[in-house]
Amino acid sequence: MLKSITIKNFKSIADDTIELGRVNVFIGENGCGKSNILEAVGFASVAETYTTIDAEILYTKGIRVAKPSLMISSFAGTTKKPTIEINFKFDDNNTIDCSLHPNNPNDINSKWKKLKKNTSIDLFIKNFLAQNTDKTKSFDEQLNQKELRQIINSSEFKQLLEQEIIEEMKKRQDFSFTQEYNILNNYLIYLLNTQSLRGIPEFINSRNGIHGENLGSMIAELDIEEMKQLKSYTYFIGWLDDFFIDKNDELKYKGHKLSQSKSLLFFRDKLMLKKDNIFSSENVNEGVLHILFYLTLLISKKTPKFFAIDNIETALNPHLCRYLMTEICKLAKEHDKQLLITTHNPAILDGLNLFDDEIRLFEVRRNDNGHTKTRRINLKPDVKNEMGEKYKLSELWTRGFLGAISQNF
Amino acid sequence: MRVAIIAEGAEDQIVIQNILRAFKIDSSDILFVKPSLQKDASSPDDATIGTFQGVKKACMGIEDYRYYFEMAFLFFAADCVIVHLDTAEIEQQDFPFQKPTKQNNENYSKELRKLVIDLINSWLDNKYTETNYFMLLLLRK
Repeated sequence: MLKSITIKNFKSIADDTIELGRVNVFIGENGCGKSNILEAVGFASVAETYTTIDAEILYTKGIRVAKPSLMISSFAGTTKKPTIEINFKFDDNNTIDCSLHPNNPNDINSKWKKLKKNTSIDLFIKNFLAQNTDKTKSFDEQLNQKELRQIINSSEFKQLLEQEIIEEMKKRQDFSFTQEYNILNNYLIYLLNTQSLRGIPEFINSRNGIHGENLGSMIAELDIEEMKQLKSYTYFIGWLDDFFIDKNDELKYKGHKLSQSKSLLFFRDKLMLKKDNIFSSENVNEGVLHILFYLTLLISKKTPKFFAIDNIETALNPHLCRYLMTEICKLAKEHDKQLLITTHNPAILDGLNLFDDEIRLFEVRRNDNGHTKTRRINLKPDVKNEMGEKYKLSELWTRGFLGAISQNF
Repeated sequence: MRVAIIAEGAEDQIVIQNILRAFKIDSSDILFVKPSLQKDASSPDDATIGTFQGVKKACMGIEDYRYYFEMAFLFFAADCVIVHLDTAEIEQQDFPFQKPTKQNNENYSKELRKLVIDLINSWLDNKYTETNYFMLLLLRK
């Protein structure tokens, strides 16, 4: 699991470190930089996965792409840094450092490159050259020095070089198979769109399904146990009797949907006449689509282990938000998932048990210099027995006592 | 340092915020408790806004006399709460004490300060007397 992330020079984040838990919820006023945190993780995950980073790859991860000069922090009165720096620490103490530099800062389609840090073989060569070359001489003179040639051709030197190469190969091989690599590799930022969830072709924009495009196929790919667990949540929607996949799309020909939607997901209403109680994704209310998507994301083995959800509350009733959030925390532990979540709905907070160290709430704000800063909101042990009765996190937030509100009114 | 402010009016909050900025306290570490957090659109008109009575109401809270103080310390993680009272308005605002005599009284400021501290402590049922200092902003007319 990712333990902490340090972000430097990315959008509104000049320099910030966040100590993460399993479920991490970020709150703050509009434009404070919550989504930028999710995107910084996505940017670094792309850098670790692809040799060339371009706008299209960033977009498919859920990152809002701007020209590089805007993606690298730009604050009045300060000198712009040339690179974005992102550092990850994992719970096994492994670390990943990314230093990202654009080819052309003013071209929105610019490719980015990951700057290489000195590997041990780089250092070996640098040290060797420092000891055995003379910078006052020309390149040819240095190259043809008898002493240098003798060293390069010696068996000792060849042996040392071989050792360094093998060591470097080992490191690279080990990393590409590590859990950390796989965690980052599959990271996505989900920002659901109701029309995408309904399977409307004009809104199927991402092969990764970050807007909810693949809900039907995600459900279709669940195994028996996973499907059983997902169906145990039908009580979340009062009218919902069942949902199912119409594999051969036969219901389309029985007038259950217009031919627009590509979704094969259908719903049965328990309050209607049995002969007329089936809805397509095109017609069903948007809340049920959002709920099913989030639950599937948590339950399925085929979805990423580590992902982000931007604005989780969209289309959801506040009371439902509270219970959905509690279940998300429970499922995240059961299915070993790690989440970054942003929200503007106070009810989401009432579903978080902040006395559980794995569940964390962060206030995100811009300081007087415009820099995004995060603060973990901890509850004092004194209030443990009074939470819910005397104090509710949702009320504390709307009353301003958690911060994360606009002070302009 | 995180600071919560209970002031008579919005302008006073801004003045205090700017003073705190000189002490390197960032605006994002400041919470304006009063008057901004007390009302919503359905609230009745409050004639006490901008007066010492409004500050008194904020100190004594809506349900519990400690409400705003407790919230600021417990949840905003405030290191201190600043309470602003404009003593220049004593005569106009029905303060529960008279100003000390100013003429030929070298202890005038100290006496006035003590009266205000005692007043605030009485509002807070003396709960914070041991742990907090009071900074007074004496605004001249």
